[in-house]
Amino acid sequence: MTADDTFWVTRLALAAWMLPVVSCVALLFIPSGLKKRVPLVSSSLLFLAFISSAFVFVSVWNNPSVVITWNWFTFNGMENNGQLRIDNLSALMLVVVNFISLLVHLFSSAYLHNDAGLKRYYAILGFFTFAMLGIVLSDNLFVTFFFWELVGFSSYLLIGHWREKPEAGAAATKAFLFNRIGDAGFLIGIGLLWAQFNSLHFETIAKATAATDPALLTWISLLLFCGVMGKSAQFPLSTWLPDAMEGPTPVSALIHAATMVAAGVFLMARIYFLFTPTALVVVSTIGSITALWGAFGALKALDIKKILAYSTVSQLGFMILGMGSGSFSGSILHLFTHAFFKACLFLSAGTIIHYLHGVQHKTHTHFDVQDIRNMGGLRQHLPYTFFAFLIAGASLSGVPLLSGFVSKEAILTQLYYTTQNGNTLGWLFLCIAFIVSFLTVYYTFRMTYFIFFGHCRIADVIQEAKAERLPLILTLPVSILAACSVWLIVSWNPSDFSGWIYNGLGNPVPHHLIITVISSIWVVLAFIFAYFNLRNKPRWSPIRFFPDLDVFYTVTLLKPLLQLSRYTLSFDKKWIDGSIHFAAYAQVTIAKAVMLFDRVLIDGAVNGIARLAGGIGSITRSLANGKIQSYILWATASLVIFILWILLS
Amino acid sequence: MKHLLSLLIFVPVAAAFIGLLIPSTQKNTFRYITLSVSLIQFVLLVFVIADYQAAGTEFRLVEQTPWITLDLGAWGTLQSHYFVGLDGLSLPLVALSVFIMLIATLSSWNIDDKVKGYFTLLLILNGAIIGSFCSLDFLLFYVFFEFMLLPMYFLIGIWGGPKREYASIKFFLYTLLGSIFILMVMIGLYISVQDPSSSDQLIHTFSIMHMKKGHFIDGSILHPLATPSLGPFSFRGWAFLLVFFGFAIKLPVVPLHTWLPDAHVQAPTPISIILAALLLKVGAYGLARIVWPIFPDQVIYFHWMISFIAILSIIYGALNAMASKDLKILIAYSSVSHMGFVLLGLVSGTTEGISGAVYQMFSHGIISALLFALAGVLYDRTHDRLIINYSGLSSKMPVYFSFILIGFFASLGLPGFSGFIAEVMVFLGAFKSAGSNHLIPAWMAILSVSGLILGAAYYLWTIQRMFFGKFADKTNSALPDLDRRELLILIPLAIAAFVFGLFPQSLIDVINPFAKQLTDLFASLTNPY
Repeated sequence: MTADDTFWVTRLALAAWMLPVVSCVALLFIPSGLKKRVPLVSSSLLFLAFISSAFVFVSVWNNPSVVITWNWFTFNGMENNGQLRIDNLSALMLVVVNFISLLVHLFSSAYLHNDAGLKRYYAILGFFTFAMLGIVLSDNLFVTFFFWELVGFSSYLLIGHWREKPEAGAAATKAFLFNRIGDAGFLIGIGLLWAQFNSLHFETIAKATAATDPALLTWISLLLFCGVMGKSAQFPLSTWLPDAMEGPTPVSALIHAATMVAAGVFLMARIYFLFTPTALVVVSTIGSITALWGAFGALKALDIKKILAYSTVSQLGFMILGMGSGSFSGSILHLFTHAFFKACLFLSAGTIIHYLHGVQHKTHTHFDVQDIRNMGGLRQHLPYTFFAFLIAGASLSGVPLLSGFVSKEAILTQLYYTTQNGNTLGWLFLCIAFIVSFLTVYYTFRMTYFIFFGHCRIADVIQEAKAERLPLILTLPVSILAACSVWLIVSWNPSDFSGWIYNGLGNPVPHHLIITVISSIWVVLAFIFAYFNLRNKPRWSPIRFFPDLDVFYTVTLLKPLLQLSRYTLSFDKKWIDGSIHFAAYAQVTIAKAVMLFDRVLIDGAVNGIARLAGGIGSITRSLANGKIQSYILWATASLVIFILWILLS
Repeated sequence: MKHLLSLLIFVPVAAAFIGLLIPSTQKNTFRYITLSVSLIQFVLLVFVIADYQAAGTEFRLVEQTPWITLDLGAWGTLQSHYFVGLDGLSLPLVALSVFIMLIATLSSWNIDDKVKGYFTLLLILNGAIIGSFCSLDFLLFYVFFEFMLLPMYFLIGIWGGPKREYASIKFFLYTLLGSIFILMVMIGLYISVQDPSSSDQLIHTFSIMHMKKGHFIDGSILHPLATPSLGPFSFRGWAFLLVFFGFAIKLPVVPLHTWLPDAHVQAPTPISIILAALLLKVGAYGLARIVWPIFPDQVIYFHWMISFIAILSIIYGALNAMASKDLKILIAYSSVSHMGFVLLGLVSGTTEGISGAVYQMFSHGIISALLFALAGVLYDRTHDRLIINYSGLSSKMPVYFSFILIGFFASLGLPGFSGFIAEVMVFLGAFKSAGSNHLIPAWMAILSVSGLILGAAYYLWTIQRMFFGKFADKTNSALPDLDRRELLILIPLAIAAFVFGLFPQSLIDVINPFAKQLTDLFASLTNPY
């Protein structure tokens, strides 16, 4: 790349990063009279951002990376921490984030067109995009952490967008807190890194890791992984994601499916060099549990958005599981394809919800528009949505010729190669990956089947509503995303993942035919099983038992913590203030005792002496009664006593 | 200008005296006098900062003139100077004081009871706070320090809430106890420290500079090499404990904190703002200015205890905040938790930790002022602060809710706000310390991070209960959104929290030399561990 190119790449990358936040600030100051223009303004800014990022992607892809530095701040020998890096990984993410954000901006303009908080909604959406791109571009853990938390903040605001819904507030709080728990570990990891290397710059740390104690590195990497677990909803911090579906559906598509939750996977790729083999086993284990947990959750759930959310958890677990294979490329490839097909599924779900809301509104009926038990046979009413949902769902299930198949194959192949290197645990992880893929097919089939096939369970209501056709602004983003779910997006050859993205990511492994064949057969088997299992007896939830972690957390953590906090507060009142009051009372009591002593003894003594003197005085006074005779009597008596006393001595 | 600092300190005091000549019926006059004093101080502050940036060694804008000199014959000479100056520790705090005093004046605008007395006390408090941040002579510092106490006592005791007498007497006694501890150590230091400038005569001095530089008299009780001990500790150890707890009461630390919730809840809003934003900082300032530089050996000796108290304050304060039912008590306990970070940063003995501690003092000053101003907004409307009495307030007061979001998230350490920079620096310092000088045990450094989770928990839970959901207000009050005066108070605070969260370098540059010097002092001492 020439210096001129670098100049333009830098400028365009900054534009791609900053335009969403420009949109946010502009919307905060837009007069309320122009409220109708809000979606237009912010979508056009996002469009410009997307164009810029596309240029950046084209010029940086497979070229040397571009580094941007500016003077942000520094302390005590820390290198200046305004550091950004545009390489293959970040350029790819830049495009994906801006692209999906743009589509979600467009979709929202129809989905939320009557919403009172539209301005606020678009502003936060722009802010989220900016924060997410901050993570993507960051070249330094401080910057990453900075935007990491901001992403969580915007997610909090968007989940809680409908403030009057108490569930939305609870879900927003929960999401932020679970992220914070992960971030606490993340921060400890950053602290250890800082104590060890005196730097938070990825490259500086990477150079220094060779000479570091592997045990310490294991700890550091696992602590940083805590952050990944929070953001990417890994077990046991996974329960916030299904709850986060309280937010508007386009938000779920952007944040809780395509981008934010993928930030954890992205971060893992950035700090992959820190992970020791031991740490990777832990990572894979967490990933496996999450993938299975999410898949079972998707089997149990009946709410269309919750099914998709559990599916996202499962897919994220699948990516993390793939991370343990010694290469991050497969997982990033899956992150890439997942972003499109999952966003497509969410926006399709949004379309269905929007449609059913319209039906409800017209007929004044009440039913849960997100419950798949109230749907069925919708393919006749929503043909475009059905088609998009079918493609994206097939991509999720890993049907050949679709992008999901290719990226899943990459992860499976990587896992397969680890078993070839004599890693016995590798077989376990590979098996789990296949089980997850089987379950994915099953729940996707179940979802699609109940929504679009069979007889429509609310046919009469829909009939009565005479709903009109969906506006283009709803169907267009869905169609584009469905088109992005085919294999061409990652490779020319539908059976070979090492196309034009995978090899650009680092540590690629070669394609292996046996995995392609097995996984194709496996998907077909799963479909046959699901079809025969569900065809005649619509079992709403195929599994009965699903571990409700929230109850567990409430009993083991939340309640004890609240109890402890109540106890400490009463400790303050009872013991600390109590002892102060005791001291005060003791002092007052002593003071009273002293006063009493004063009154009774000292005053008493003084008064006693006074009284004595008075008594003596009164006696003597009675002697001096002014009668001459008695004076003479006393004088004579005294004289007699005196003489006697002298004579006797 | 030569006497900038003196002007800054004594303009409010002079204004207070002028105010005494004005009849108490002219209520607005007192308001405008106080406001103009704050504005004058603001202008002076600009000059101070310009002068400070110009050049100079460790201390800048120094003014030093003999104040008290007593020839005590065989006992030597007692010497105390009027000695003021600024360094990287005091400049941010002086700037903060001027800023907060302006905010507090604006916030006092609707005080309508005994206006003359109120504003006179406020002006005296103003001078005393800035004076104590500038003093470099222990006696002078002590005088200013004590001068803060009395106005505060009356401001809480006369203009406070229903339980004001209890709260003010509790505040007074607690702080007085601390003052007595400090007084004892001050006398001890006075006996032990000399001014070495004249060799033929023994000059006992109160100068913190001489104390810091270790100009101890041979054989004196607080000499670092002195052997006499009393029970388990040396005299120096006892002196350290006294002066440490003396200032720690002000900070406050657990378990010496219970005056704080009471004082805050009973105090009127502007006084809460000053209390949280400035008076707590005086405790932290005392630690950083006096205790740490004069007793570094004892800080190292007692490092475990200090770290433990810091952690205890962080976690215990946060837990109490979580259980609090009253919005103001919650904020008060969050202050306890956040001031624990200051102590943790200081005890780390690392540059980033100490810088972070000073940054946290500054940042907490801004954010806690914002929080108490916000609590005051609600109290003004409903005269009730119980969290459970409200729900869904965001629909009635959207602008207020925006500021609540800013205040709460700034306080829980969201990046982009000043608290984040401060807390991250303290954490990094704590971990550096755990890995290098071992002043903070690793497990405590790790445990301190839990303060982040708990902080998020109590704030978000409060937002969830008070602002989300269906609207309900059990007090049945009219709830207008923020008015202009309130915006005038809240906007500058919010902007300040933003600016110092996004562009921290200039403040770090000011603090860093101070932090570095203190770190070097710690590094130069042989570490017993």
